[in-house]
Amino acid sequence: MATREAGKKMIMLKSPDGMEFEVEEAVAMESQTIRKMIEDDCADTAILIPNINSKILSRVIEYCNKHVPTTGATGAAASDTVAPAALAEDLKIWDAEFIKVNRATRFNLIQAASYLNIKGLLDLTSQTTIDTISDNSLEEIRSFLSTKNDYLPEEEQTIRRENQWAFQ
Amino acid sequence: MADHCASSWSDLPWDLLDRIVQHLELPGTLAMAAVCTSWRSAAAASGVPRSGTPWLVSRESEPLTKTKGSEFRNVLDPDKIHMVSYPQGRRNLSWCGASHGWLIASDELSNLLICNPFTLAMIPLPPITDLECVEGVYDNDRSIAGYYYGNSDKLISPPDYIGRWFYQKVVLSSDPSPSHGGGDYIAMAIYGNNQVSFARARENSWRHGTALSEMGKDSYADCVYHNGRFYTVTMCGVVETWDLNKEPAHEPNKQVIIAGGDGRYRRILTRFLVSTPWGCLLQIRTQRRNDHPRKVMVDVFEVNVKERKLVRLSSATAFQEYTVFVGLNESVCLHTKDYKELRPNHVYFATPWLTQEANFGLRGWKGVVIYDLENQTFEEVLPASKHSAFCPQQVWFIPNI
Repeated sequence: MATREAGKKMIMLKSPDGMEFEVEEAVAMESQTIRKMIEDDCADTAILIPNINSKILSRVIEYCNKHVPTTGATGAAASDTVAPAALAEDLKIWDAEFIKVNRATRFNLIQAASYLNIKGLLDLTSQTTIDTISDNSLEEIRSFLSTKNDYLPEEEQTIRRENQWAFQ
Repeated sequence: MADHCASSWSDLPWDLLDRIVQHLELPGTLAMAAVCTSWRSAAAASGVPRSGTPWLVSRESEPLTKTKGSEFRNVLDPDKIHMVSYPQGRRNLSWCGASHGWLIASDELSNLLICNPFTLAMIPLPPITDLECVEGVYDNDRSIAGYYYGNSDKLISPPDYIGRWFYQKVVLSSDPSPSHGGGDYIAMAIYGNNQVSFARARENSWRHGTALSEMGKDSYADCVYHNGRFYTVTMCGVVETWDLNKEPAHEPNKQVIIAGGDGRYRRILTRFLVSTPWGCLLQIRTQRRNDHPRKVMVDVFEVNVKERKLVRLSSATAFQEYTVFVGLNESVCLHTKDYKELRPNHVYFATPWLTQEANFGLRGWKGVVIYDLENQTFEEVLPASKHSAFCPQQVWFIPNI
């Protein structure tokens, strides 16, 4: 964010691989987990985000930046001229593009969303998983998500018999 | 907090999986439970039952719900409702039977449709206008506005309405999936004022069975496919078999197996036929008790097809280790070895269409009940809706395994 308003409080987020991200407090507080840390005064200098590498953390921040309720310079201008419905539609399109990632990234995003407790991102990442499960056969789900099919052969046989419809 | 170092979708924390389960419709949750053992455990913890266990399916969509679909309740947890949307483009289905892992619906035009609620595959049966007693009435734009039924000149509309009460039972001879021998099935329907028709796969017309005027006040109670033939039983207990092996132009060939029934015709609620895995044709007779006209008595008979006689079976052993599901569905007999949670020698009743008015509103029978054959006691699973005393509410659906 090049044009930051003066006096806006900034927060430093650190990933375990040593990268630091300076973000507006409002953006960071999209995460209920971080919000709680800030409110409990545990966030004086920098917050270490365990288990979320810099690549994923930067995507998460990108998401929060887009979704933070806009009161900043660019945001205020946008909400004055654009109807809320159009804004929501714009966000939806942006979300759809944002989630076009490979399954490893999506997997990391869903976990990050869960840990950081970011409801919108959790909804978005869950929904794509829900769609994958709803729209595909069992074999396709297994292959798309690279889940480990750890059923014993005889169990797998029962599964196949009982869920024949799902293999079609 | 759950472990957030998971490295594979299989290791996704249960709280996330539960979140996904809550947003999936039933086919998705069942598929998810089949993906891997950890997802199966997570799904079980979220209340997803085993796929192959029997389901109660609401016969019609609740008028007030937003999603157009059916409510599924598992026999083991009937209070929990799982939604299953109708196949795409369908908005008004009414289930009128279940057979070989498929449901049979009456659609927006009251035409019959074989439908797999999990794969959403659909196979149309010949149209209702092909049945002798129904005539279509068309709009100016040649779409169906409604129907004339029988000799009445009263228009029955809208077009989906007649199908909601017209079909008493529809059963299939075999699984219609292309993966099961090319889907060479035959459908049999009991409908209207005691009529019977058959439709073979890929034939676009119904073959009408003999008109039943000679039956007097008797009427068909049930039908089942057993050992390569369809069988019917009437309220008076007359058992007939139907043979379709002739050319399409021929009327189905009917033979009487039990001509005189069992001598009982008063207080009969209904009768069911059951084709058992051990190769027998059984009849379940339900009647109001003489001493307790508000209570129901259940008896089981073997229909000996060869010798053309009825043999009464001891209630204590009639179904042995098996359990039987009857109602709008084609009767199904399951071994409790494969379904440990189900009760052996019990009858799981879902109320079918009752054709005799005297039987409406009978306590201990409407809704869904489990009957203990040995002890002759009923246990209620799901009460009958107060709003619809005359129509069946649920149909048993047993996925084909």
